[in-house]
Amino acid sequence: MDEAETSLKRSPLVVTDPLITNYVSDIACAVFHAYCGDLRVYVIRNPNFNAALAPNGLMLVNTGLIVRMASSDQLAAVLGHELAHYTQTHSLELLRKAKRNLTVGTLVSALGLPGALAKLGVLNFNRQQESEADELGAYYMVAAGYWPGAASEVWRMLEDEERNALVKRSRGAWFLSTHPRPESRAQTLDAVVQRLADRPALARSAKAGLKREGVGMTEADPLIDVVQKRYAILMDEQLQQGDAGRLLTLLERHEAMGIRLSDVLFYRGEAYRIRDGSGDVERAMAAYRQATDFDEVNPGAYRELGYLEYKHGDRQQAQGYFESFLAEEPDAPDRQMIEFYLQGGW
Amino acid sequence: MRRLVLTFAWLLLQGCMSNQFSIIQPGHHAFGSFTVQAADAGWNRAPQQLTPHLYGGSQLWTRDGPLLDSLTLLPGIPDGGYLFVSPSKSNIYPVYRAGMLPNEIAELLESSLVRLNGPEVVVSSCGLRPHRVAGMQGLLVDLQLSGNDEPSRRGRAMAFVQDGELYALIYLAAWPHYAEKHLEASIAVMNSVESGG
Repeated sequence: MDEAETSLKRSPLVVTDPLITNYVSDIACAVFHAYCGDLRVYVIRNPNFNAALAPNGLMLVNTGLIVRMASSDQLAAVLGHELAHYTQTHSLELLRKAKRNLTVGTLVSALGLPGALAKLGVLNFNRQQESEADELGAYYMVAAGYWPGAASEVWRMLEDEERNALVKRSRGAWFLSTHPRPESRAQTLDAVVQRLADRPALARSAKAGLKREGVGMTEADPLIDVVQKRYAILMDEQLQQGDAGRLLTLLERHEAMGIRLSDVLFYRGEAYRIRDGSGDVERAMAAYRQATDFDEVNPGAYRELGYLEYKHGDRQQAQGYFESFLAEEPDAPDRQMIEFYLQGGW
Repeated sequence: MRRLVLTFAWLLLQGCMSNQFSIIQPGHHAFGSFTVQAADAGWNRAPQQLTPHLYGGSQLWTRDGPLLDSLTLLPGIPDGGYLFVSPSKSNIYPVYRAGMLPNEIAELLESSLVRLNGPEVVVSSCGLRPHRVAGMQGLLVDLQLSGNDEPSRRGRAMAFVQDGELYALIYLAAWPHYAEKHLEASIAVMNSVESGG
């Protein structure tokens, strides 16, 4: 596994952007506290919701997890859960079990390190281990000053996304593969929070302004800053997955979190455009137009409006939008194609 | 990408790869209702056992082996069709629609490669631009695929539409060596498209 970590360090998918890596590492270290020294955190470009912690302290956090979080408390909840598996040696037990069946090297070479960790770290924990990790994870969060109620929010958020998804995850998907249903886990976690309610540490975290209501959050939460500043990278990964149902659910959450509305509207337009159902072109165009009403406009909104107007025969409108796009984005990599449209087109 | 690598590796272990590649002779070769030209005898056609993701009329050409370089020829995809064969009963690929604009076709290529390679490979496309081939208007777009523990792949896709059917050629190779080594030969095949297959 150490060799695999050396290889992982060279992977082009490991995020090196300090804005993201420092943010995730800081939260992980706060939650892991005494175990912080054991930890090496790698953020991986992967659109799926997942995090995993190997028995040797190597932690992988997907970008698809970060973009789904509504608060730092929620990220702390996921990391606290993983820490609990680590301290209770659940991961080690899994590794030993895997070793009995096949070598770790085989597992790693077959699935890649992230895949192997996902298998070791999450998929195969049993019901008792998951329950232990849920409860202990909440204690770790409280000790670190985070609001433990965020853990049940995560499960409800995942269930909400799954309900609205156009393509449902297979039963192997991690949050569905563990025995209790997400809503049941959320209720169990709510009960844990009730038991923790009188704890001085929770009172301290509430006083510190960290307690959240629903998915609403304070402006001070650094998660918003991270997601906002890297919004295009994080959301383009989600857009590529082509599931407008998931995307629209995510965008609703981002709007509630206070992500810049012009960005949310641009991606909402993209979601309607790729869904391409009855009335979706009109919905997409309305969203793009709204996005262009703001001072900080995503230039892509002009380009997409240009394409849609062109497709529907309004060459004059299309030309105006394409010109606006090039004015905002003179070095666009697809400038040649846009100029081609301006000169007559397809 | 990982799915493809594992498929190739598994088939290699099964001994399927040793004698079923066929040399593509220099000259014209059918590409739906068009032809493409192989300028030399450096191209090899992968056997169908190695390309379960390709429909019958599609082909995978390679010079140094499909793990290092590949030129995928996708001829005549009809309205409502897909670029690749889904591994399960439920379709995982985005659908091609006649009337798609170049930006939509580029997105279709990118999204199809995303599904083909799975979530552990990041696919990006860049530099969409117009391209004339066989007297028709087509498009070119540059591609990049990055996985965790495998070499990055780079390449280029060329596509055009004839009578509502999509034709595409997708070149991808391990970067930098193989991607650069075979780019010229791949571009030559892309530019050799002629009607009358």
